[in-house]
Amino acid sequence: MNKKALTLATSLALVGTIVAGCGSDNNSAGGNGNAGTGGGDKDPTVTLRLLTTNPLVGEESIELFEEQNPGIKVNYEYVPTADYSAKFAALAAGGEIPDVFWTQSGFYTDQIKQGLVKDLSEEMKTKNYEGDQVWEETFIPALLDNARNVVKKGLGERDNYDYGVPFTMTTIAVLYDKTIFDQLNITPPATWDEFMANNETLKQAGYTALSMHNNWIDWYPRLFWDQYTRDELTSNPNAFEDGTMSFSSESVKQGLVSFKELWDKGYFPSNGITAELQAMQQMFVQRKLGQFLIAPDKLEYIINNAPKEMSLATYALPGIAGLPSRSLGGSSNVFAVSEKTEHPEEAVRLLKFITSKTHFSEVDALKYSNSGLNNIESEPELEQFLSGFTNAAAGGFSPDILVPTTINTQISTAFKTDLLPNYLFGKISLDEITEQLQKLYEETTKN
Amino acid sequence: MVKPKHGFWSQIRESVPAYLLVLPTFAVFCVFLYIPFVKALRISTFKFNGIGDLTDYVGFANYWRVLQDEKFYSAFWNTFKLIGVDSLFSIGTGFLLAFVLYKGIKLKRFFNTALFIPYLISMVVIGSIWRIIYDPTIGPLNQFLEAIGLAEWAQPWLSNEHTALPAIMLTWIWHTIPFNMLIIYANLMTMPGDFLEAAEMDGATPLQKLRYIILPYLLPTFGTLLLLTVTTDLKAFDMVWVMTQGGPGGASEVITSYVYRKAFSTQDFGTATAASVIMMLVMVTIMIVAQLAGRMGGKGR
Repeated sequence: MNKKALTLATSLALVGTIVAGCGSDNNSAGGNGNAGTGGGDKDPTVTLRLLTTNPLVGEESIELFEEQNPGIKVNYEYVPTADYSAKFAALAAGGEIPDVFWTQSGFYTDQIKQGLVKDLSEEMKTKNYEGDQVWEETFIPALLDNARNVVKKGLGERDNYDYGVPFTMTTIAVLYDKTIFDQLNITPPATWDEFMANNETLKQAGYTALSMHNNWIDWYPRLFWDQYTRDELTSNPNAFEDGTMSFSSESVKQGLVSFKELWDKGYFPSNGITAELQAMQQMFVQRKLGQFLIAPDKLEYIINNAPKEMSLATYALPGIAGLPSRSLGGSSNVFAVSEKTEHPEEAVRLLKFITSKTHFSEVDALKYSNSGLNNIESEPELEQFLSGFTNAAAGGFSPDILVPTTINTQISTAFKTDLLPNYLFGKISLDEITEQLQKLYEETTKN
Repeated sequence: MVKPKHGFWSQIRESVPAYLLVLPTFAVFCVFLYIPFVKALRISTFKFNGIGDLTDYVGFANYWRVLQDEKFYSAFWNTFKLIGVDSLFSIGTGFLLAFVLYKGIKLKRFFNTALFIPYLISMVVIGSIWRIIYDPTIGPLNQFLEAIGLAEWAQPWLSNEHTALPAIMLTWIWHTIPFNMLIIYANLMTMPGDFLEAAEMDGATPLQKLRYIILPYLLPTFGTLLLLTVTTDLKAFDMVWVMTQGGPGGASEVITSYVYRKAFSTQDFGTATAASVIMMLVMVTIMIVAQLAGRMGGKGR
């Protein structure tokens, strides 16, 4: 009998433990919960959550913000760009969207469509972080237009296009080692033919001529499309929407053919399809990679690890069709505020700080970046090294959504991870890749 | 004379403590397995991007979409290639190593521990290490091949559509051999010595002892290891994702990376869940077939 009672008591204790474990403690401060006042009712500190894939907004930025805003604490989380989609989807599914988060075309318009992003049109007309200018007016107008166009292109005409703000003016240019160029007696190219001749010289000398890695594998076709389709898409920006153009249009095909030509000539690293950015950075500092098509925010590793004998310089990639070269990027880094934030005022303040002169001038990690703000100047020496990026930006930006491979995550993922690699391998033909892209475009945009 | 209690309710009352003991486990299973499974079944019938409510009911369209997708079959085929190669080489090599240890070699204890180490390292760490080993520029494998005059064999192992999956398989097998070795070795150590002594007295050669005593004795162990290999390999994900993310161009895509890509890269949770359900059905079928085969084999013996 005692044995039975003991078993019963043990069972009840186990059930009790489980039930207690499953219950939530309403009094405890949840580390993963939405922003709230930390430390109980008496503590007025507001806690915000920030999600970024951009390493430029890092701990140093947060420390500075918290120092200047004693009432606000920021829980900062960094995820690599490749993991952003999974991370954001998981957070959204759990109703845990951070108060302020990084985004980009493809994700950005989907997020707006799903009502996850706060409308910032009113806030843009208020004072900036320093309080000396209207926030909207601190941005270079072309950059802000670029960000607004992403919304317009992805969601059509609407009353407002300010859901997020651009952080830095992303430009891409070619980084090279002057000593290698001097040894091989080549100079930065002014035309596409010169560029191709340089590639051949570098290849013959045993270098991998051009960078390529998995996450940016679509950069080259997008740059080529900017040249080949510019006339058609300038005269009719909605050519894809109204069916005047499709992925089977000659100009679109030409971009893909040119990319494959570079691949077939062996100018790209043989592991480029699966390699990470870091692999390219390592190859470059080991002097195995001749030219690195790169954005300035990824320069820090190279500058910190480059051998002393290396002499770094940059140039803007010439246009493949002979048209004035335009850069990819522009407003490719956008920060937005969650529609559901419990602290909109503080979240907007954090956003204003991220895009402020204070941030760009006081955080070391930002010294290689182009702020995209009206009121900041770089050091002259740095300006010279970054001239390639400056020249690339001067040519203007290719719209984020041109040939619409970046219009949503479905096309973008299929293009970068499946169709493009298999096209380069010769497993699918030019007609097959364009037909499949068109099919995907029609399927995913019909609603 | 007291009449024994055999009624239904009296049996239930007698078993209350037992039910209460089972209840916590059952509750955990409900919360973490059965309820999510039912929810997953529901999601698989909706067009769902992971955000918001389930509103767009599509019936079995997601299943149909998966079954029409050749990438799904390619991922399945790659998974079964991995299972086949892993079963053959990992269990085979595990047996050879276990047999060598069983026969006795010098520094047996050292080898026993050293050989088991790969199994203790996490898949992610192994994937990262081997990714560097296979790197075409800075990887030691290509440098070694060049050093021994086989430069023409050097290549981008993980970026070549023909070598990416075999390279992952090799790494995977390297990781799983120790487990198989340990299980087989443990079984060899518990094998009654009488069998071998009797065989020796009958003048059996070492090969005959292996063929007629050791291998038949280990047959149930091989069966269990095969089943474990199948179930583990069907779930292969972390190493594949770290090494190639299923690339290049889907050449090393396995079923789990296919599901992950559908869910988290393209945010098509409906289709991803449908693919998971199909995968689960295949796993259950394999289990049932294996159980039936095991029973039939047992009766035969």
